[in-house]
This record gives sequence, C-alpha cells and structure tokens, in this order.
Amino acid sequence: MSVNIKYYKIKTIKRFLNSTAQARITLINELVVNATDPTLYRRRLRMLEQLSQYEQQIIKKLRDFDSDDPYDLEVATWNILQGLGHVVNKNA
Amino acid sequence: MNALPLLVSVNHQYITQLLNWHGYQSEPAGNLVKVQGFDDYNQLIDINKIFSNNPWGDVVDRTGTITGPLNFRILRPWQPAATAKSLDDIFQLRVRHYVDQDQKLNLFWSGGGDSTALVSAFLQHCSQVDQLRLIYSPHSLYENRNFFEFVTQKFPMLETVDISGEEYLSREFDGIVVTGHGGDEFTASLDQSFLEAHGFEVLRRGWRDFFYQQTNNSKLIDFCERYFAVADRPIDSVLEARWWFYAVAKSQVFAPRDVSFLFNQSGVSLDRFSAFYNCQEFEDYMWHNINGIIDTDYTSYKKFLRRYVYKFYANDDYLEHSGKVNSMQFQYYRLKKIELLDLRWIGILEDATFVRTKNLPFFSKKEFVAEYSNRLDYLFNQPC
Repeated sequence: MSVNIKYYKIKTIKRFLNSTAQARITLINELVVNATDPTLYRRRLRMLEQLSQYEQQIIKKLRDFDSDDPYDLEVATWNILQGLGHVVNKNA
Repeated sequence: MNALPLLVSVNHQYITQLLNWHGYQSEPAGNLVKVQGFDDYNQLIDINKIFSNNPWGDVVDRTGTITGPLNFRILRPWQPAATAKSLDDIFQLRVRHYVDQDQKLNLFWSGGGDSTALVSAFLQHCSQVDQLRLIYSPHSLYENRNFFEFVTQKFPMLETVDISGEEYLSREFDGIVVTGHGGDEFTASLDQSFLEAHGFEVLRRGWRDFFYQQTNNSKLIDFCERYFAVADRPIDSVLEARWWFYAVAKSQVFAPRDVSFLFNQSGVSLDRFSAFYNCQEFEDYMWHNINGIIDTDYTSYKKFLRRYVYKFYANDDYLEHSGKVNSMQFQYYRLKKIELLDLRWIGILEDATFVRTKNLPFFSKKEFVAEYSNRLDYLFNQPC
C-alpha cells in the first residue's frame, strides 16, 4: 500500500499554522500592551513581519518537498517548530 | 591529506536520518547520536552525558585515536603541551596573529568574561585602533555597561556597531570575526547546573568513582583510562577529566558552525570566523594550570581572566563579583538569521561549502540522492 504523503503534509501544515497563529496572537497582544513604548512597539511590529516571512517560506518548501516517507515530515515538524521558536525569540 | 573536503561540522537536526539512510543503526542521546559499531565514539557520547544533562555540539576527537561514523577534518590536532607562556604573552601573541593578517577585525563582544578579555587584549596590543570594530548588542550592555563606557571613552576612535534589530540580518561583514569561543571549552566548560546537581566538591573527587557512580559501567572506566592517558599528564579529578574531555572532544564545534552566520555573503572561508582561545598557546597554558580554572565557589570560575582584564580595566566590582553568564545572544542572532534567510545546512565542509538540499528544514532521502547521488559517501566511515 503506497503512503498517502499528502495526508502527512496536511497534518504538518495544520500543526505549523496553529503554532504560528498562537505566536502571532502573543505578538499582537504584546504590541497592544506596549503600544506607548516606542522600542517595544517597533520590535513587535518587526517580529510580526518576520513571522509572516517565515510562514510563507515554510509553506512554499512544504509544497515543493519530495518524499515518500512520513517519518521525514515527523522530523521536519519538530524542525520547523524549533525554527519558529528562533524566529519569535525576543532575545534576537 | 584526502583530496576531497572533509566535514568540520554537522547539523544534528538531520544527522539521524542521514546515518539511517546510509545503513547505520543509531539511537538518540540527547541532541547527540550513538551509532552501532563505533564503540569508542559512543563512549565519548556517554562521557558527554555524564557532564551535561543536555549535551549538544559535535563530539570531534582531536587526538586521532577515536573513529566516529563521520569523517571530520581535525582543524587543530591535539599536541602534547609545551612549556606555558604567561597569559599576558599569550594574549599579546594572539593579537599579533590577527593584526598581522592586515584585515578588519570584528570583535564580537557579548559582555561575558571571555569576550571582555579578548577586547581588553586587542585594545592593549593593537596599535591601529581603526583596524578594530567592536560588535555588540543591548544584551552586551546589560551584562557589562561600565566596560563599554570605559572602552568608548578611552578609545573614542574605536568603531562600534550594535547588531541588534535588523543590522545582523543585513550587514555584510568584511575582514575577520573574532569571538570568545574556546574560553569555555579549554576551561572545562563548567556550568553552574553541574555543580548544583553534584555539589561543588565533586570537582576535586576522583573521576573513576564519580563516573562509575553515574553509569555503573566498568567498560567506560577502562576506555577513559586509555583515552585520558593521551593527555600526557595526570587526569585524576573530575575537574581534570572534564577539562580534558571538553578540550579534545568538544572544542572544534563552534567556529565552523558560527561561519554559517556569514553564509548570506560571498567569499566565505572558515578562517574568517575565528575562536580567540582556540590556539595551542592557550591550550598549553590550561594544561599547566587546570587547578586555576576555579577556586572555592562558582564565582571564582575563570577569575584568572578577570585578573587579566583588571590590569586594563581596574574595576573592583567586575573583578570580585562578575560571575559566569551564558552569553547566548550571538547564538540567538545566528539561529534566527539562518531561519529567516534560509541559510540552513546539513554539514559544513572544510572548504566552507555547505551540504544542503533545496527544501530544508524538510529533508528526504529522495532529495538528498537527487542532489548528491553517492558523491558524499566518502564522508561516512565503516563501523569498527
């Protein structure tokens, strides 16, 4: 029985976009709470832009990704969520 | 020398899949991987797990006595220690080594002790301040604002660059980047969590009892007896064992990995990113002065570097009270830059080419074979 890799791709994108949605809500809330602080306001706006940039990049790569092995997507899910953590890291 | 370029670093996000596709049996060990058929290499992983709850970074043996699954180029093989020079002489020699390359020197100052000492060395021994560029971030100032103010007042012509915001993403760095890497690895890489878990007195305990207590594995003890003997000096205490392990098996990892920070630029070579403390002279100095690494409590860790800084920056508070902080700021910038600019890599070769497939972080055997076929098979060693 051949593997339906499309199913695993959908599972991956769903998990990824749920995570980016949570990250986005957090950033928006911080933007609102810190709206009077020019530094934090600028930084949160920048991070929102970077989050969208990262999201677009990952969706395109997932679309183009060629694999027959669901395990590849399992590993990749961990990688992209870790990457998301780096992108929204407030220390960077 | 092998005509084909060998590895200098691998990305552990992809290593398990890569090894499995090449027929190895592997098992995860934290962020590292043990591989069937490489018993001595696996022992090094076990030592790393004794010393760290969450070991990361390539284990690359510099003694030439251990074969691992991957074929690394050893950038600076282990050599028996020569007579130690003084720390002052070593730092002066080190600065001269960089200055004589007649390139712009980007000094990454995190605010931590290692990079503060290297900045102090450059400002004392580099006669042309305009050859230097101090790279810092707001976190550096949080760590040590007084030092920054002291330096900028004493050397008003010193170029300083805050790489926070979008600066680190877009700026192209000319010349050489010098970081404080090696400052931990050649001083036993002590972190406070290890001492909190085992007590400060563990450092003076015999390593044999301690290792056996942690693992119940007499084969590991036998391996360590052989491996530690290569040091050509007594390795009896946990501190000495820790010093040896991090110096010979964990010190290569950082500079090659850090060069990925420049992967958005052209003309990148490994020697454009240099670890200040990764040199024979500093390693020899530590071989002779292991017990000077730490004294009675954690705040005394690497105080000998703060005493060096004190001759330049006579701040009593810094000398007595500044402790070790994990300066991760540069790593955060590097990791974010890699993700946003898609500078991802599977491995870095010694000619600074990086092994990658087009859709990383999505990684498949299909795409790897399409890209490389069997051209990289020479990077994989046969099990022993």
